Amino acid sequence: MSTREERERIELLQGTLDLLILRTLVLGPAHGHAIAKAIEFRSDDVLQVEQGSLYPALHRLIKRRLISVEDGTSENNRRAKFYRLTANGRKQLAHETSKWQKFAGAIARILRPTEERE
Amino acid sequence: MKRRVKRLLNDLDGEIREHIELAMQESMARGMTREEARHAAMLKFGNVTRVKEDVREVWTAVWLEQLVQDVRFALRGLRGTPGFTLVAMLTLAIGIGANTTIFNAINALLLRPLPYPDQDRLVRVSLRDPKYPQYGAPVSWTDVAHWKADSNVFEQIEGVSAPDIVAMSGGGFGERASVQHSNARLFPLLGLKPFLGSIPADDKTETAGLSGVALSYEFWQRRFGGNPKILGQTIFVDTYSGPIMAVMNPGFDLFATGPADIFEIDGVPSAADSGIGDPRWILAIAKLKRGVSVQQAQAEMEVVEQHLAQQFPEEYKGMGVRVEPLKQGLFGWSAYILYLLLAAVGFVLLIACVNVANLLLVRADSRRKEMGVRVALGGGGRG
Repeated sequence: MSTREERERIELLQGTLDLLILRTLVLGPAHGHAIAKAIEFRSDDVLQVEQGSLYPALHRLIKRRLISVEDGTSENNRRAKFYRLTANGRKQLAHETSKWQKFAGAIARILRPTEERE
Repeated sequence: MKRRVKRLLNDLDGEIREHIELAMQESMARGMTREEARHAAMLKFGNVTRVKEDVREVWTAVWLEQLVQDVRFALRGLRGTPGFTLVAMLTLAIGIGANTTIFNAINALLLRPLPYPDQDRLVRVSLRDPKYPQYGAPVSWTDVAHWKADSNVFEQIEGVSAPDIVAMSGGGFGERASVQHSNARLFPLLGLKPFLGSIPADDKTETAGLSGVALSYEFWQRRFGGNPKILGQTIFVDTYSGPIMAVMNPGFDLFATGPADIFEIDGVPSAADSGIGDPRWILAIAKLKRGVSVQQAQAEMEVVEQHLAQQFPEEYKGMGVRVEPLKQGLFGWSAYILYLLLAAVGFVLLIACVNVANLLLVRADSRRKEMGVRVALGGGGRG
């Protein structure tokens, strides 16, 4: 890993991992490794996920009934857990997404370069 | 919910292993060696143990929180209705108390072994009166003497009585005391050593009538202030008198029938001078020879008994004999009653629980309004 690459990678904000998981699962059920990979791939490898932290997040979501879990088979033909978005989860995703966009927009407005305002 | 979570947690190990395996395969496809790939995958995954703990915490925290909440709510509810709480608690307390009491008796008499060495070789030998076949009949000192002389399966066979209340005097006062008779050799048979003094098992104590007494530790403390000079003094028990030979250990209770104050050491008459009509009022306790089973002893004793019946028909005609393990011989009769009582108090507890359940049901009905409010406010049915 080069230093440049390292500098550009960003640690996830508290709570955003849950949202990213929900978004990833819109595409269909997936197992843990596939979810982690999808998040990194779709962020062009900018977002740094310590992949292990995915699992507590998945269990939190199960607890809140936003996703469900079922048994399946991995690419290796081994038993794996597949996580699936529930109807609740879909609703929550829509809600969180609009909240996040408002939040990001607000931050962006505040951080806008000063010359634009002058 | 709980079982599903348990399974999920159990499968977590495999899931993480598979995750790392998949990551390794990808890296290896890009040309890493297996070792490098493992290193990279582990680095990216983070601390596996920590992850597992975090996942577990997601669930345990909830259970604990809910448990604490429920308990606190229940306690608040109970404090709010002291009448109900008192009735429910008393109902359960009485039910549980009765069960504990009966179980204590069963534990002491039937479950806990007697505190004597060579438990498995100790037996009770009793006569069988055909009129009461299920109970062991008491025997006489003469019976013990005959069995001692004629049988070949016992290392020792000795006699002891149940506690009896008599008057005693000596040391300047008189009072009631409970007395247990036994012969001197019973003490070594049971591996008992006195706290103070000694109980000599010699010709004198074996053949004479009353040769002396041993005091219980408690009686010695109570009546003689723990004075060791009491040894050798004469004490009057009932209509006999004899020297104090020994003091037993604290807490000594021969067969858990309630501790006796005084042990009268009686001699066993020899088989030759045994008279007709010797009263049958004691228990015969024996120690089997090594390697002899209870069944073998029983078989031999039946033969002995037949010979005695021919020799002394007045005494032994129609009498059977039974050898059984000591504990069973002493307390076997109580098993039926005790288990019956246990079943009875078990049902009492069950009824108590049903009563409390009914009370709770009534209370739940009176909480309908509260539940309505809860639901209206968007809370669940639970506390």
